[in-house]
Amino acid sequence: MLTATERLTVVANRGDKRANNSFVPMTESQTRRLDPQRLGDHVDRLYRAAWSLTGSREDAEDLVQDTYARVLKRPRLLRSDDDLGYLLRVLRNTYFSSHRAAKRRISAEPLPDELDRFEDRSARQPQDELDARELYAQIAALPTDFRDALVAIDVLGLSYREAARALKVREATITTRLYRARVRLATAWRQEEGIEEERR
Amino acid sequence: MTWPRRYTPTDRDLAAFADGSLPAPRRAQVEQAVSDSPRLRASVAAQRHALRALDAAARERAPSSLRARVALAQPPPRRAGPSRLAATLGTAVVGVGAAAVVAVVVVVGGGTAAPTVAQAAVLTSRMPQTSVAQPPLHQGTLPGVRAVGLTYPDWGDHFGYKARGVRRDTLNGRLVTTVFYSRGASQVAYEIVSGSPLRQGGTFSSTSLQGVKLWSMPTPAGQAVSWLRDGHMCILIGSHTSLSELQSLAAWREGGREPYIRG
Repeated sequence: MLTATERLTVVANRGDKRANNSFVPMTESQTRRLDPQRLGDHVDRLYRAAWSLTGSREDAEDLVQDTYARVLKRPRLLRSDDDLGYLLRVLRNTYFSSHRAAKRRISAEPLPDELDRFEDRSARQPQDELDARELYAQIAALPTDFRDALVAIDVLGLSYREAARALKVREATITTRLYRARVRLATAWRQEEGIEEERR
Repeated sequence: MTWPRRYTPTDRDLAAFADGSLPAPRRAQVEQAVSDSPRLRASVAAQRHALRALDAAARERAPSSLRARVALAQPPPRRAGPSRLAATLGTAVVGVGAAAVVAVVVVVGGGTAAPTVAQAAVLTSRMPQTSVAQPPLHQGTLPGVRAVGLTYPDWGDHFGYKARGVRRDTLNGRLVTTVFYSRGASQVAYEIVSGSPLRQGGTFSSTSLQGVKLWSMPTPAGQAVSWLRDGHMCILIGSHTSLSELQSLAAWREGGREPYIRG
């Protein structure tokens, strides 16, 4: 059940001017505007979270870009310091509302070398790259609830409480899901390592 | 006589114990239970195995190209200039001219059948993957941007449209390379789809301009004009752009049969 302030926050964030006008004085002490300048600090973690959702590096880039476009479209009012939790919610909503359906028939392609004008100093060794691709693909293949818990806590780095708030579930529920997600991931990853060993 | 009940940690305790977030008073209790039980030891080992794999993956950093794309996601300073075609969906005023065109609902389904023009038009709702370098004077084409051997025009001088970015996608197995142009609030996406010509996928009208056969149809992404260049389907999708202007852009230099050079 939402409180009056929370209801007002939701309506104001939808762009309702009247709600926004009454929201600002009423909640000045409890809220703050999301600072667009600080959003750049979260690109790495959001990228990993997006990769975990989509299972594809190229789709993750699209998803993060779309998430930023959505967040930056208008000023955002937050009730806590938890920027990352908020960004995770937008990332998930963007993924479910547009990317998941499109993924069935469309996939982004890396641009050819001559178009890639940005020097990428973060590029990794081929084996590390391969391992990361496999791991993120395995995370993406987890059941949705388990994957969401793992992404919020182990990939994005939220505390159990922040993750529960971001995903709107009880803390006890999210930790149980996290436990099970890790067990499944460990099992899948061990099989992958076993296959790798046999190849060598 | 009753034996004291043995403490069994919950899944929640084990998860927190493995990642070190369990508070100290509980920690000793769980540690004792884990050391007494092979099953719990295996559970904690699995948790830590997953955490080690995730630690390694946490070294992945966003590529520089993504940082540049995030900068592209910043809203433009002008109110009239939405950052992409989708932003104008539903509000675009499209001049359909004399041709009576009936809007159709385009159902974009799965499967691997050849895509349609209407499906390809949907791709323009996605954002550019990278920016396009400004073309040198008197070149007439965009440097470094090609699709199936075909170049893209620099419309800067002639029509005032500047290339803003480019992206590539695979749609039902076909490679689609899209260049995004803008001129104030007007935006045009130029797609070249690899392979054989596409069906329209909706109600369309056709016309000829400067010897080029053009097909026009409304799509959810905006008005689309398509034609053939060397057997490949080219599609222009516009928002805040009239149909006649899209047709002029499409037919320019005989639809690309004549090289896109200035003169």
